[in-house]
Amino acid sequence: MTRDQQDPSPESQLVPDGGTARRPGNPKRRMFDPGFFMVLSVSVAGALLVWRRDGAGRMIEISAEGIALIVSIGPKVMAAVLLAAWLRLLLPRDKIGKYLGGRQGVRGMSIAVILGIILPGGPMTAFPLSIALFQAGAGFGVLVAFLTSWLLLGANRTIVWEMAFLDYSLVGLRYALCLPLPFLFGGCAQLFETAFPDTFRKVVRWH
Amino acid sequence: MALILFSIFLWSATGALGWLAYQRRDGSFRSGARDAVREAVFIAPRLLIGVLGAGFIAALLPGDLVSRVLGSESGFPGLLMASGAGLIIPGGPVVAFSVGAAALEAGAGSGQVIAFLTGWLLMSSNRTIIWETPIMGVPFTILRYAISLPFPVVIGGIVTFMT
Repeated sequence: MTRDQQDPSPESQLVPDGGTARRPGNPKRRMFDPGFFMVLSVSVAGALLVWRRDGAGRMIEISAEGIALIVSIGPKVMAAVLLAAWLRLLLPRDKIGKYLGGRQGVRGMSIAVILGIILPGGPMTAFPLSIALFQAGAGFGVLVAFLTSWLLLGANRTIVWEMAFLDYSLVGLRYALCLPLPFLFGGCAQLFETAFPDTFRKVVRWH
Repeated sequence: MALILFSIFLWSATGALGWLAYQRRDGSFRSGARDAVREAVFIAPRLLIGVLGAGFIAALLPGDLVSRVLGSESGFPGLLMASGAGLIIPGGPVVAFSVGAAALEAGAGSGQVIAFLTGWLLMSSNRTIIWETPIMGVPFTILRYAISLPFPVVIGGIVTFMT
């Protein structure tokens, strides 16, 4: 693993897409990637099958419901994307590293969880950032809390994707139930680090 | 009500950051807005095909089979199967959330759908293979998986119990 693999400069991604649009070797995002065409073909095939089985009326009805949903979620998506874009400019990565470096325990984990929630960008931002935090002296527990928070609670993913597809009350319930998990996982990781000091440093080889 | 409060909060935060970016007077405001538009252009077609596709697939799925295998009555085996599906499903959020939405509409239980989504969020095979193992290394990924593994079923079970 070379240094530049760890840090592919994020071109413009603000919201995690996590599909095939981008890879570590090719950080420049493609507008139309295999994943996009896969979803597109499944959707078109689905539309044609509904048309054949239930008639054009049913197909139009389902499309209208979908478009109504997109219109209602649209402004929220735009707000989330704008928020992420300005936040990334106002909160550069080296500042985050300096702020969280050397932090341990519940206090460090709380900051890490908040960072995971607000961090704009996808996996090419979050994973290298967590290594940078570790190198700046953050504990293993803080690292796991940060990544778990980014995975489960990341605000952009939830606002842009999850709220578009699922009922708000269900999204709220999932979010509330997942809220303690980063602390729990971070706590487990910290216990592991305390029980087997240096084992973790040896196995990860990030130095 | 909660949704209105959420929208107010979201737009206030966006407005505040926009104001801060504007105050810097170094072009942050404009370049941020430009990035946001570029990102929205990337997201819009994906949201469209995903939401429409989820609607069509939900109409086509055999409702009785889905509710028997993954319905709220399917219990622990259903939760386990849904969590496993979350781990192995390829693709990003468009695929995962549209599959979840389609399954929900076709009769899957909300606990099962949340187990599926939590499994995907925590341990998506796609993201692990493409991003996590190359950047973080295999030992770290195994450690993180070991801690995370039971939780899709646990969270899904709590949702089943609560709804």
